Amino acid sequence: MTKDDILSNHRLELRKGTLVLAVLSELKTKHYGYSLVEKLNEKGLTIDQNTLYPLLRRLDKHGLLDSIWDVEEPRPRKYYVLSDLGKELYDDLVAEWKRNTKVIKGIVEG
Amino acid sequence: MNLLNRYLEEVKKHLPKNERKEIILELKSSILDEFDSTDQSEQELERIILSMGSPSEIGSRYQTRPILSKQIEPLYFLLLKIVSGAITLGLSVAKITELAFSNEEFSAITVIRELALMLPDLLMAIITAVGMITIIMFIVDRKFDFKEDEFKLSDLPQVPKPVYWVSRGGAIASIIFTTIFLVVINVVDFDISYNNVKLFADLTNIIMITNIFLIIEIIASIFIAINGSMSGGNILFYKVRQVLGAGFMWYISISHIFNPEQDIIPSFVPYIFRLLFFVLAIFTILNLRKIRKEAN
Repeated sequence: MTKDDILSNHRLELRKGTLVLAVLSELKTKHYGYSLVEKLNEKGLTIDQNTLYPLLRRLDKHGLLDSIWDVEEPRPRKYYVLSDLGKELYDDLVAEWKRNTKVIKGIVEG
Repeated sequence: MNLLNRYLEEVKKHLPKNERKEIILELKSSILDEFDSTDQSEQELERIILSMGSPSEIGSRYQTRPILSKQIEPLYFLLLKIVSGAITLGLSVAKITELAFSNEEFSAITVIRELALMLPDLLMAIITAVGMITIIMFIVDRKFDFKEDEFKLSDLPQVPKPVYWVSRGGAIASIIFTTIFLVVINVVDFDISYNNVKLFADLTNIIMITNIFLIIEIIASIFIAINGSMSGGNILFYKVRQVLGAGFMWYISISHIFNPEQDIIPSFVPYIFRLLFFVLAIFTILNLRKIRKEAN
């Protein structure tokens, strides 16, 4: 394993948790897959589609999202939005993330 | 678009069966959405597909369940170990027993040759067993939900005590018994015969070699008894001593100790005698790894 591989592994690990947070946050309004990619990109978070789509499916399965197929448009699209459970969890996760960030900041900079 | 369909067809193969249709539909719609935002050239489509990754890679991202769950994994590997060990041991013992009771000469070379000839069969048997265990465990894993037992500190086993091959007491016992044995084989007259048929073959060489071995063993045991058990001992010394012991047992197992024509004792006794020494030699070699330095 080269240094670059190790670094990229750790970067992925570091990102994993916050990615869920970002996705949940954006899904306060409903989005379909690609529109979410664009939205996140706009805000500076690049995310591979092959990471995002399985993630959306997983969150949906866990009941954090509500999903619905819109077949009225020329191209059928699956829309996702935060479920009630998702909203609750999102608030908890944000609080947890803020706490963590504060603690880690204190460690890294202290 | 043909390219996209070909890609999705390939991805499909790597997806969980019951979710295939929907995942493919979603992927297609998402890829086309992205494609629409480009100049819609064939190159752009290729770029998008390449960025999605290989079919197996994207498939694996949708797999939420590993082939075997974490709870069942230790049991799976334990079974693999036991079964492949049992097959190897079983087949080897069967082969060696067969050889010992056959008319073929029972020598180191024939044993090694026969064991080597057995390898393809052994490999086949192990592969079959591993395959079957995997299938069985896979089914068991899907049918039953294994929950890990609650972790309790009292469940932790004691740290195993190091095994010493020889202690000082063992060395003294070894000196006593080896000396008795040495005296016995040199004093007892092995020239036993019944109806003019001798029980033993010519033992001159065997007794000579046994004497040499026993004397070395006594010297080594005295050395160990004086130096204490394994403390600060030279590990190599103990290993050489044990290899020597194994070699001696091997030598006895391939030697002609009994007269082939004797009918005083049942003819299977000499075979059992050989087998016994052969097994002892194997176990002595296997025990080599138990020789360790004494823990502080």
